[in-house]
This record gives sequence, C-alpha cells and structure tokens, in this order.
Amino acid sequence: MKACVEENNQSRGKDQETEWIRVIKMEKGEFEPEKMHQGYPEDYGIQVGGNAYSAAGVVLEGEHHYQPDVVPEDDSLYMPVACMQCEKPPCVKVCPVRATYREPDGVVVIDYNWCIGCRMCISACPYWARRFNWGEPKLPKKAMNPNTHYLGNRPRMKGVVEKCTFCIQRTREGRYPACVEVCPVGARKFGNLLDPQSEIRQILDRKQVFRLKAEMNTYPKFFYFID
Amino acid sequence: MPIEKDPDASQPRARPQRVSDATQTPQLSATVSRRHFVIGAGGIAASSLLGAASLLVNSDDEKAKIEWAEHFQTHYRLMTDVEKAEAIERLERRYSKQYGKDVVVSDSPAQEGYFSVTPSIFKSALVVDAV
Repeated sequence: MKACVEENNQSRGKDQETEWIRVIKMEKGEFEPEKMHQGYPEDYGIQVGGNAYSAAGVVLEGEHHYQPDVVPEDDSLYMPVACMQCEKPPCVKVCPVRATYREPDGVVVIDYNWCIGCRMCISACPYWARRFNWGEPKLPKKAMNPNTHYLGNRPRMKGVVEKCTFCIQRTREGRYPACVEVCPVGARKFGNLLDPQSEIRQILDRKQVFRLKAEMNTYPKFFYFID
Repeated sequence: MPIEKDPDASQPRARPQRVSDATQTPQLSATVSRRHFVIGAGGIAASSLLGAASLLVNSDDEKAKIEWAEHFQTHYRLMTDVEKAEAIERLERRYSKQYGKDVVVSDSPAQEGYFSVTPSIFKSALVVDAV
C-alpha cells in the first residue's frame, strides 16, 4: 500500500489520505481451501464467487481500517482489494462523459481532464476500488514521483476520480507494478494472460483460483490464488 | 346561398399597427424578436470570450494560459497526435514548475497482451505491513 501511494502520487496526510489498495481483515478459519466448493455463504460475508463461495466473515464495508501492534494477527487473514480491471466494467458503462474506458491491454483508465466528478463510477464499482478527490490532493514536492503517465499517476486535481491502473507508467515500459515489485515473499504476480509461458498463466493452470464477486459478471482480471 | 363579396378584398390590407407605432416611443421588447435577442446575446458572449482569450494569449500569466488551454482540451482518445503532444508538453511545464523537478508525462500506448494480477490469499497475510 505504501509503495503504491508513493509510486502513484496519491494524496497523503492525516485528513486527506488516498490509498488505491485496501486490505480487508478476515477471520481465519472462514476461508479455507476445503471450503472452496461448499456453496453459497449462509450468513453475511464476502461472496467470493465462481466455484469458491465461502463466507469470509467480514463484509466488504467491514474492517479495512485497523492498526494492530503486530501483523499478521493470529486469528486473521488479509485480503487485498484494488481495481480489478474488469472485462465488463460497470464503472465504464455508467460514465456519462466516457472519461473512463478500457485500453486495448485490458487496463481501465481515466482521462482526469475529462472527468466531471459525478462519482457515478464509484457507485457502480462493486469492489469499492475508486477514490474521489474531495479537496486538492496533498502531494509533497519532495515525494512527488516525476515519472508519470497521462492516464496513470500524474498528479490529479480536485473533483476527479482516481484508481489503480496496474502502474501503467511502469508496466508499459516492461516493469512490474510497484506492489508486485516490493512484495518480499512474492505474494503477487503480474503478467500477460495471452502468453501461455507467463508466470500468471502457470498459476492459473496449477493453483486453485477464484475471482472476487464473480457472480456480478464483471469478469475481473484480478485472480486470487491459494497455495 | 350566394356568397357576398368582400368589398375590401381587392384593397391591400393595412399592416397591423405595432406598439411602437402607436406610442411613438422606442419599446425594445416589442420590436425585437426572441430570435434576434438570442443571436445578439450570443454575439456579445462570443465577443467577450474572444476578448478574454486574446487578453490571455497576450498576457504573461503562464498559469492562466495553461488552465485556459486545459479547460478547452478535448477527450484524450479524440486528440490528434499534435494535440496530445501539446497537452503533454503543457502538463510537463506545469508540473515541473509546481513541484520543482523535471517531470515526465508519458503517453506510451498499450502493449500487446492482456494483463492481470494474481495475489496469493495466504501469502498476503505475511506481508500486509510490508507493502
């Protein structure tokens, strides 16, 4: 999350902090590989979708602001959620001015200069992945990342929506997204779905994989795997 | 029943009297149609806009010029290559001045492929404070 904030010139500070990645805390035991095929959750919880319906113990609007002294907590699991770059993105469908759209490589982007700030896309996104700049973003001069992309991490203005772009300024130059690069245990993988030899295809072929809220038919390109 | 001929039919009809004719005072609301009023108002607005634009073009206020140009720039996907280059050059100038460093704004196009991220649900638990 911190790497994402620094790479993507997000607003920071106590009163106006923007983070594109949320990490949802879940109760351990609710999310077990054995439960992946047990059907729909009976009670509240994240409906993980696909063949992997399982009550996760915490609703999406639940605990994603927490500051424990020690992480990970013994009885908790953590689920990172960001923009899923859906193949059928509801945010794109509802934009009245078409400021947000899908690029040919599947990444959903925003033309910040064209965005009118109506926040329809925020309402439409089932993953709560978009953020709105209620005020002028607070980006310290020293911390500003000067390598930017027009559709990605260039400084945003007040009254526009922003979100994860898989670090478009890095990936289009053959680099990994910041979150993938900094992860010390390789919990995240990034790659080309059309390349059968890519790491990501190996994971999809060999691991148990699910997509969040797959029943929404948004076809997210953010595959959670279990190993 | 025979139709009676109008005795005045052969005579040219008199123009209906206007309010201004009757009162002999210039009443703008009575003589100017809505269409002419809208055209006139549009002309005034356009000329004032052009006046403001010419003032901005000739002024030294760099920020105002950039904001003006940004306000009227079109959607990124509809821009020509020249317009894109101008917009990016404008942004680079503005950001460089604002943040005091050389800022590069790329417009690199999408690469071939279809990209995705896969996070491990269990490994994420190990590194939640590191990323």
